[in-house]
Amino acid sequence: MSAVAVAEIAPVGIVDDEDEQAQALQLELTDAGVESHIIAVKRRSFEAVIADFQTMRSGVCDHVLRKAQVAYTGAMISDHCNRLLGKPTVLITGFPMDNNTTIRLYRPNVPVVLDRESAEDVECLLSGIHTTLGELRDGRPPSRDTVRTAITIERVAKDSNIWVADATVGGWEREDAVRFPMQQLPEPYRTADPESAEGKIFFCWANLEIAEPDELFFEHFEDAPAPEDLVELP
Amino acid sequence: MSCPELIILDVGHGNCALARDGQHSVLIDAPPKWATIKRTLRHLDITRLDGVLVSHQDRDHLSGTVPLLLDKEFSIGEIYVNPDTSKKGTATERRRVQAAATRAVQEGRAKPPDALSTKHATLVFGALRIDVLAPPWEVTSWTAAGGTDDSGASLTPHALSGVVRVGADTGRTVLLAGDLDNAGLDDLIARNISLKADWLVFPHHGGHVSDADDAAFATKLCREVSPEAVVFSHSRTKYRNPQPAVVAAVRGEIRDVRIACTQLSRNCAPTVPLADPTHLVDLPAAGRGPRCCCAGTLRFSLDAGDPVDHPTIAGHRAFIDKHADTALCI
Repeated sequence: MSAVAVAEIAPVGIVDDEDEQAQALQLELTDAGVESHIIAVKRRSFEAVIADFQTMRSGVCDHVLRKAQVAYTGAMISDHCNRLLGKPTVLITGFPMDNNTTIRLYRPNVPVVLDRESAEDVECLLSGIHTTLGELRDGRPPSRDTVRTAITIERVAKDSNIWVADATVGGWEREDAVRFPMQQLPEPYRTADPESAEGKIFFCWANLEIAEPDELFFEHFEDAPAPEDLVELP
Repeated sequence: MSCPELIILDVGHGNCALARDGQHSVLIDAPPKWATIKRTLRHLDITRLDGVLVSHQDRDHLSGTVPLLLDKEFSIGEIYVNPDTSKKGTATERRRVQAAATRAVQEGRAKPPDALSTKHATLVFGALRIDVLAPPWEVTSWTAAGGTDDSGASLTPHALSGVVRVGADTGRTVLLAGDLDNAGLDDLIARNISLKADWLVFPHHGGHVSDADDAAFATKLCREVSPEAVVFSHSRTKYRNPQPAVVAAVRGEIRDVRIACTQLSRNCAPTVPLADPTHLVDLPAAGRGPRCCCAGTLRFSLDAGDPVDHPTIAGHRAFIDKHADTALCI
């Protein structure tokens, strides 16, 4: 990687609740000539961790921070760093199923999510940081552009203690349902009466160009017209 | 006013065509690749579609109408949707289209949809003339797929597929056959409806016909249409179309026929080109990025006085010679 490319992203802040994995990431980056710092996370507030990012140029966050005994996730930190601090931050997850729940919510502002194996490849990691940097500078690429569409809630369930919905998506090439957290929906479906969302249609914006279900995300939900207002379809 | 033309978009698996005469634009079918359609409309500075026609309610013809109807960048005049609702598994999609159409009407960007059938035998938009040949209004008004037609033949959703012929005041025509099957074709023949057209967009992406032998169906259809060119709108990565028996039958029936696939079939080339092709028209195509295009997006001139179509036969043929070792079309 060129000196300019390194300068754009170094130092890299590393957040991981596993000390060994944090150190392995740091070693990887050091070997690639990229300065990095491990940001302590154990029992620290979200605000304190974010404050430490002020002196970083970019970040790498593990998603599940259970061993750090904190209530937030790496996706929340990545979202904040990308959206509000402008520091390109890549998310790492060891649990692919999290893409469906706690990660999808933050995908609008987290362009790159790597599995643990990919994150061990420093080229892949650095490429992810640069992809994120590109999106922060130039806006979303066409593949992540969103359009307004309609989704149908096929099923409602509890997954990892949160309410989730399985939805099929109008205008998307794939017919399979994708799971997302219901906290994105308007009330009463959000918390008061999630189960009543089953069978309902909502309008939202989605990146329909994407082929991989894990990379699909939704934002800006709105209610669809009430059944009594529907125009007739021949 | 620019020359009237029909653009057959490379949308991967599915069908989508845009007829325009410089002042009026009509979209026929909208598959899920809305981004490709939207980029095409933007490229051509089109913000109003005077008509949107949906040949039948399969996702690969219908699903893109949801983001289209919800996109505030576009207004729509008339919407005509095939009234057959019997296809299993499309009820959810249909409800989404209904909700999106309602919102478009509420936002003042569209009129409530009407039925696509022979009840509206000819739709006129400026210089554009669209003959609705199927589904027959008499049939859709009293039965649906699952029932039978006058001859007692069972009706499938594909038998009731919309079939339209697009032309202009000036002469040339294209037949867009939706997903027409053998029962539907027999019905058109029994009604003495002429299917003659200069180009044919082959039904069902050149895939298997559910109710007849592929080759026999292709031969019969080509005999009725007598086109100079046959287009297969299909995806390289979904299914393996067009079927070799279909292409062989088309070539057997029409001497010197031009065959153009939107994407490079895996039947014709095991790999895609290493370099970007140079013969494609300057319009979006779903296969352009992954180098899956064969003819890509096609432009067909509806003007008999200026019958130059793009990509040109020579440019397309040079591409096939170079990149499709087992081409079915030559």
